[in-house]
Amino acid sequence: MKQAYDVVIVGSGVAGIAAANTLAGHGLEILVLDENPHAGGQILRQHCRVTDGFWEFDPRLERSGRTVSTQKIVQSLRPVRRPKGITCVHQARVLGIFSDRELLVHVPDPLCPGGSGPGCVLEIDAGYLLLATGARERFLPFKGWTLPGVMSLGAAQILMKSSGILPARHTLIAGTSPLQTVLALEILKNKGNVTAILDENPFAKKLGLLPLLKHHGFLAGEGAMQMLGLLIRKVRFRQGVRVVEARGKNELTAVVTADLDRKGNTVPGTFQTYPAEALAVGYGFCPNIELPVQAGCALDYDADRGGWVVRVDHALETSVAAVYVAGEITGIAGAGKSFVEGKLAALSILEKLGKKTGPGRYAQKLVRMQKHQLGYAAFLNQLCQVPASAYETIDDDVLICRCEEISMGEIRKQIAKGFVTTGSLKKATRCGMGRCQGRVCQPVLFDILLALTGQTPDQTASPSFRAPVKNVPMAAFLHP
Amino acid sequence: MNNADTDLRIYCANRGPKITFWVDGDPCTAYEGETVHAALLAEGIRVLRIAGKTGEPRGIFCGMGVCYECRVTINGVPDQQACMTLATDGMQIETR
Repeated sequence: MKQAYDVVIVGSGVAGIAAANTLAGHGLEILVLDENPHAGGQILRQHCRVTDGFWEFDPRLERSGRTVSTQKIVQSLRPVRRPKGITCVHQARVLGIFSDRELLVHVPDPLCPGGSGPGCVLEIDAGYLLLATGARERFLPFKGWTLPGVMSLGAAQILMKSSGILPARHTLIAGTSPLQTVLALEILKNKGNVTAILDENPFAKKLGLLPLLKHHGFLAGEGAMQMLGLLIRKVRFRQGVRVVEARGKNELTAVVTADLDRKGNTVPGTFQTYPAEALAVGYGFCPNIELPVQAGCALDYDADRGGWVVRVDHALETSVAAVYVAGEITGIAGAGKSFVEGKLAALSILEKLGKKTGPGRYAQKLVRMQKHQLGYAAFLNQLCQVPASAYETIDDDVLICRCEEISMGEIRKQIAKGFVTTGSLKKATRCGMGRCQGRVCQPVLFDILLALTGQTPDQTASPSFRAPVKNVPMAAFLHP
Repeated sequence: MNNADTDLRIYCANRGPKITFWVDGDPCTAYEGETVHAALLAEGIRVLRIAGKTGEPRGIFCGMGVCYECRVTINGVPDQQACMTLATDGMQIETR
């Protein structure tokens, strides 16, 4: 491993791979860092498991029409020999980004001279930096959501995709995310059982959002086909119900739901109990903005894009010079946008470096595709959102911060005392100071603050993050 | 093993060679390429640690290296994310 690279890409999901491929072949030294054992990010993780080469997308993918669907991306991925100049390091955690794009990176033992377990921390200089850190899931906390057996929709998918292991013999699926149907079909394909899908969105809400898909007929069709597939296989499907409690002594054994009224409030006396070995639940997605925030990149708040997103110009450069971003962190809109933005950001960097990037109309075409893909964001994110009342009515005994074990009651108390910004509430409660550094509870806390105070997102203030943004053993810093 | 009612391993999945790892001193079987968190789940081990303040059990939650709920001790190094680590032959894992 070198100490300096022309371009460092953080994240090798759809955007990172697309960017690396576009940058290859121009005589540049490119470093791709990823914290996972393999490349592929969340969408392609299954397909990048078994090769130490690299991947590229069939060029026909970008000629296949305006909508680049997840399915098309998965199908067009193919393994190739690692292009000259590209170095990939996995299980590498970027801990911080300092001035002049100096990165602090925790790498595993094999890359440390005389390693002995905890790995070591390296300093790496990036001529240009491209952050493609993706997204994570959002949650609406309920009583018992910390019980083993309750997991995110993505976690249930990952168990199958990465390790070929079902989340349980019988899985209950809930929340508002479009991942619900994807997960259900995957479980059935793998001969598991889906107890039921408990979709929090009432049918009327989904119908009302359909006009947002008017330019995305393909995706609407894809969703309809998934629903049809579930109907044919007689999966129990309920709409307009919320999970209010997960029960069990040491592990999950039952899930309690309540019906929702038109405003999205739970209706008393409508509780139903389901036996459950596993509950997969999720409420959409939230951009992984920790690194760009720590690097000083400006943010914008846009609920239709998934909350706080990184501010970019037309070339996908952030407010910090030579730091570019691509994919979900500029707005949650699915893999198609990540693919296009990965390419666009790479072209912008090539242009800055004075490299020949082909005809200008190619970039213009990508910009049009990017705009089109972004059009899907409003539908996706509104579909996943729950009304403010859902946060207002969380019971006092529900844990909000899983790491520091802080309850809703404590948060209510501190908000009433006047701690009404993201930063002050964190200091008053320790919410977000635990191992995950607020990755799970910060988006929840933000929505709780908006709901309880009626403030604007700007008044509530964006989160701040300091290096190291990921946990790292002290021993790794002490390594010679 | 391979009881269709309890086995969570997907029948048709592409698996690497069989390996043995140790959980709290007991031998467990996994296959190369599986992550630690998945291999533990397949063995029926769902409680991975106990939360410090409330004493509540915790297990797999995000599965993608975000939540740090699945941290276990691996080969003597504490607080390793089970979901971000591949199981290897002879690996020593301590839960709780």
